[in-house]
Amino acid sequence: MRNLFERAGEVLLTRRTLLKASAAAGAVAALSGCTREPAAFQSPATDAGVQTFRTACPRNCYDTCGQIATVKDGILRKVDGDPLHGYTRGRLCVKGYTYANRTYSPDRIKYPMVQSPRGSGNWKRVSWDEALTMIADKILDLKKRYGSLLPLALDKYSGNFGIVHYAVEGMLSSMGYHTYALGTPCWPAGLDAQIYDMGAFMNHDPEEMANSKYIIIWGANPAWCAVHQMDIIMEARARGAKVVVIDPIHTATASKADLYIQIKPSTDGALALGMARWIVDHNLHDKAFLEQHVKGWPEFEAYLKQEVTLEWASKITGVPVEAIVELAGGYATTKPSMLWMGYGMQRHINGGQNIRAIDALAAITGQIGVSGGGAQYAHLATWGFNYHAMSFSPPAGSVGLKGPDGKYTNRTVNMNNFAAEIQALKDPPVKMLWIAGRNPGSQDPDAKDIKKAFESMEMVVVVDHFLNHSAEMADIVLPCTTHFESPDVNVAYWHYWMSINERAIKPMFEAKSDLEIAWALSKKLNQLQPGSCTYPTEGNEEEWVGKEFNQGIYDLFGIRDWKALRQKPAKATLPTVSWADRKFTTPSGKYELYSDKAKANGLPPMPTYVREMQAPAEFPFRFLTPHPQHALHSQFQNIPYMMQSNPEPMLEIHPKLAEAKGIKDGDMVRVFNKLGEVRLRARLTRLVPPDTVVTYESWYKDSKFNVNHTVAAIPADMGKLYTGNNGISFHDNFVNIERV
Amino acid sequence: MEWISLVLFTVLAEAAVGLVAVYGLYGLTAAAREKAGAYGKLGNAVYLTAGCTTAVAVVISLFHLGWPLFAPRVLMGLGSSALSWEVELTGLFTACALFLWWVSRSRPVAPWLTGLCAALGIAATYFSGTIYAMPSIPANNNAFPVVLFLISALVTGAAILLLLLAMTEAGKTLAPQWLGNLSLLTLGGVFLAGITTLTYVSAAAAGAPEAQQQAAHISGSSLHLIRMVAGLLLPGAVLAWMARRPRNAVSTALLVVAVLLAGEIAGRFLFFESTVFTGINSGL
Amino acid sequence: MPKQLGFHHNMANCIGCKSCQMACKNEYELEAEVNWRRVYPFREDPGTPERNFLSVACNHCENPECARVCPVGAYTKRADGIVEQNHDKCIGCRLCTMACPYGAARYSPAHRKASKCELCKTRLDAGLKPACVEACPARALTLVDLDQFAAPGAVKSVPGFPNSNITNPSIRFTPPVVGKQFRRDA
Repeated sequence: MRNLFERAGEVLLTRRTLLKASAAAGAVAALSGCTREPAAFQSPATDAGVQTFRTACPRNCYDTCGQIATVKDGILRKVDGDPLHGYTRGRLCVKGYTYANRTYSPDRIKYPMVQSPRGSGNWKRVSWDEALTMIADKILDLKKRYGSLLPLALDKYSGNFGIVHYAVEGMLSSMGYHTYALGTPCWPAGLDAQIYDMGAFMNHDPEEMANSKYIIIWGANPAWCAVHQMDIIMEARARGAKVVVIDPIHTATASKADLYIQIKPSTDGALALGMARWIVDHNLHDKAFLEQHVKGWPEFEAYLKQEVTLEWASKITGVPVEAIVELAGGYATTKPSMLWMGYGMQRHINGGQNIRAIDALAAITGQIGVSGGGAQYAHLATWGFNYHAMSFSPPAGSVGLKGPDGKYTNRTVNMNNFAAEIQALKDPPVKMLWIAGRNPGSQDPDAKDIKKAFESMEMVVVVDHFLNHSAEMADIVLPCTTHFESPDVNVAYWHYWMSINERAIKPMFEAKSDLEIAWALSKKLNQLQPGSCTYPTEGNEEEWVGKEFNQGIYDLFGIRDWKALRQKPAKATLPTVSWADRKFTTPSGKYELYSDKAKANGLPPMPTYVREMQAPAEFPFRFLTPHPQHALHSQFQNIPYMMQSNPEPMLEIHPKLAEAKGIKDGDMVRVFNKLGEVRLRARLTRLVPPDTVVTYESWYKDSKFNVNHTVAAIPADMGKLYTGNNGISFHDNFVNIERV
Repeated sequence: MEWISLVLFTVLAEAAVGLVAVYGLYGLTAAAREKAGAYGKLGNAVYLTAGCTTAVAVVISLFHLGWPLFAPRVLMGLGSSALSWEVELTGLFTACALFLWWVSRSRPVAPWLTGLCAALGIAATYFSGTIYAMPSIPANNNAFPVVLFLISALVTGAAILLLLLAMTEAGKTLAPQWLGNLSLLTLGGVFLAGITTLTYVSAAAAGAPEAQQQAAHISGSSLHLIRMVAGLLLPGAVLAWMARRPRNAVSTALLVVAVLLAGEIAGRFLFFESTVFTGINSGL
Repeated sequence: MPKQLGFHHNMANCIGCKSCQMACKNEYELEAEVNWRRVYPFREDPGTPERNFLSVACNHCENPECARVCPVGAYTKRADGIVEQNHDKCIGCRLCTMACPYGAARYSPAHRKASKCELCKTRLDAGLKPACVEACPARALTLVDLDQFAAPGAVKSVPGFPNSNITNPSIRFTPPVVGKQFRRDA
């Protein structure tokens, strides 16, 4: 009897109203709500009747946590960090701890839905069969009309970085040669920069930071975006390290730094050059290292001596000479000293160049390949899976884009200029979009143009958990599973660990994983037109996870079987100090201060100063829109826990600027430029400089708020080399503001 | 938090308590001794009004609770909780008032019983005030809540008695002797209410940052203005006129009662709604 | 048996990430509106260049206001100092939510009762740390026995924190430290 009441009481909770509670339980709940008090609070940690599963957070995040999901009676009770994961160390983050709240959010898309007309909000539930039939019919129709599947475009990125989720790419390929978004909005300028400098981007094991004595966190905010690194930073501190933060905003990370330097956005290269000049003037550069392992030092030294002075650097960066001296002195003499460049700081027109200039500091002081030293950014050394889920080719006889060798290929559009390019394509034009693991309606620059791009389609399919800004503009929305509901495997681009993702609970309502969708769509396509899709039509998800592993991965991680990951995560047996052997994979085999490759690609060969974008007269204020605390882009902010904790976006304005514009704390402000506008409430604070306004980009539930109405698709200077397209200068956004 | 049920509960319960107390006080007058029968019959109306008003107030107060049906559990907290005492004593007062109404239908009520009933009510009001004199509300952590509540009881109770003088036969009998000075007493109460409110706000304005914020909220609120002008000044003027030219008219008394009650409700609402708890500087 | 369990909050380390706040909600499946632990920007003033954070749950006070005012006697102080609530007794009068100087007691609109941090008493019994302490990534929160606690530089209160004399809360702070700054608005 008590269990029934407990269950009934639980139905009152929002989460559980989603569950298929029986009608009886529902009726009892209505009655018991009046007479029975809810049970006292018991932690599932002390409940004997629970099961635990190893899951892995599949978000695009430095920390890529190993998780332990606690399940009782088929319901996810809570999610913790995996204590056996050497980076996660048993804790998650503010977002990770809301996973149960997210999984059972009342807003989760439960079943396939069709919206007619598009954008009307007039959603109608359909069966999977109906949805897939509509989709398959359209695909076959496009193929017939245009002779190829090039009119079908895929926009996918990192909504879920689980390896098996590359089934989406595989699904598209298995139908024919298609169009897809190439590139990455995040980090490519920095990737290219490190490739020009060292031949590859390969950060130390992040745990190495504890060995550093002087840590410069340059344009990164781990307090919000890589919170597990904070423990390592605290460890370094406990061992006597000094922590320096360089950031235009007085971030939460900066608030705990021993030294905080507020720099003018996009001028990081100049600061690094100023430091380099000081280091050379004071004879603190490592001549032996430069002689043996660096190409282009004489040329770079000449540049420093001729073009760079501390006063010059100070003028450009807004950092006083005294500070540059302290910084340079600290970095050069408190060794080993480590540089950590965040991704935010390279989202500028000179972002890649700025990374090169900072890298140069590590080279000049001989600290590349040194424990506790180096210039940390990212790596992809642990991603050598089979990508079996992606490994399916177009059906025989498929036609695509003809390459110079006569072979057919897919067609690409620049992911970072998606709206414009997708609309500009001809022969054939793009008529259908498949959106998975991405939310261009919220995250792409030029939101208005994205809307136009969607409107120009004959069919838009969005696969997601929530009716976000992209789903709102779709014809068909397909519900997908969370990582608790489908098995996978995950690695990271920062730490060296690999985690299995076990299925902890059954798929909610009618949700399917991207892999299941691929099987189902293939089945439907082949039903309608045999041979139209080479993707398998069924399978076992756990087995498919297994198919991703190869001997290379096993050797790298020192395991014999992937199932061993169910017992604990594995760590790659990579050297914890990258470039310790100083065998750089550049054309010269040395660290290249002077890169012919860069020159050949139309870039400055050396990390010389490239001017930051200047504010136009009519839009004199920079609008920074960095990553939020309560969300990962458009994920998490919309769920109940986050909406309660962070109900609305705020525009951070310096009191001086606010006064000049007659804006008081709490006033609604219009932030606008040629592209569009956003409106949000002002919060006066000295955390931001007087010439810059800041808000944190995210998707708030039931809100039209989207900073990308003001953000144009301005390319960064680098990124093409590694990812096919240059990055986006998100933070080179200039606006004007006025009180509403 | 929505305060309306607590506002109505406290104001109405205090009005009932004040009614019985002032009626009991007027039992000491010559007129009460001379016209004992009328006094007793008036008591019947007094107890009924007080009992029903408090009963209604208590029912309204239940809406403040998450689990109204479990309200009887407050019997368990008598150890330290002023709220337990307030509920207990209000219950006892209501029971007593209704009992005395029943008794007074057929025979006179012994003065000590009236005194007891009034004492129960005053004690209930006292504890009611102490509930809100808590360290977490710096502006209220003093004698003011108790004093303000007691004065409210006096003012509204006396005004309702004035109304009963006009509405009941017994009241009309006693009116010629009572009307003048009862109006004066009520006026005095109104004056006290105004002064005490202003003193309370001034004291808060000179106190801890949280208290200062609360004072600023009150003084800047239109509700405060409404209470002071419409809720106190206006009825005060009418009462002064009534004291000089006593006229036992229902309409006049009803006006006074209605405006005073409305003013008290407005003021009480502001009292609750303006609460600034400790920890504002740390965002608690 | 510890005599008075409490928290040591190292504000010099706290980055205000809110992992502790959400870990608690995660552990007990709390309503969105119910925050047993709350993280705030501490004394943030548009005019000052500081940025500090305060994380506070229940301070398991020596003289708990919640216990004093509760009309149904729902709160009791254990031998180890934890102030716990008999949730079944609560009638939802919300006096505790008003009386606590630290806002520890929280009202749930769905359950219509108040509740608060109980220092993860069942986790402690199982030899685990409190969920918030476990979750903190910056070494800013520790469970301590005040009778044995002695961290250099730790203080009973920080400016802006409600007067400790009211309830004698079982919390100790390492006050925030402001590092050297070079700002563009100096």
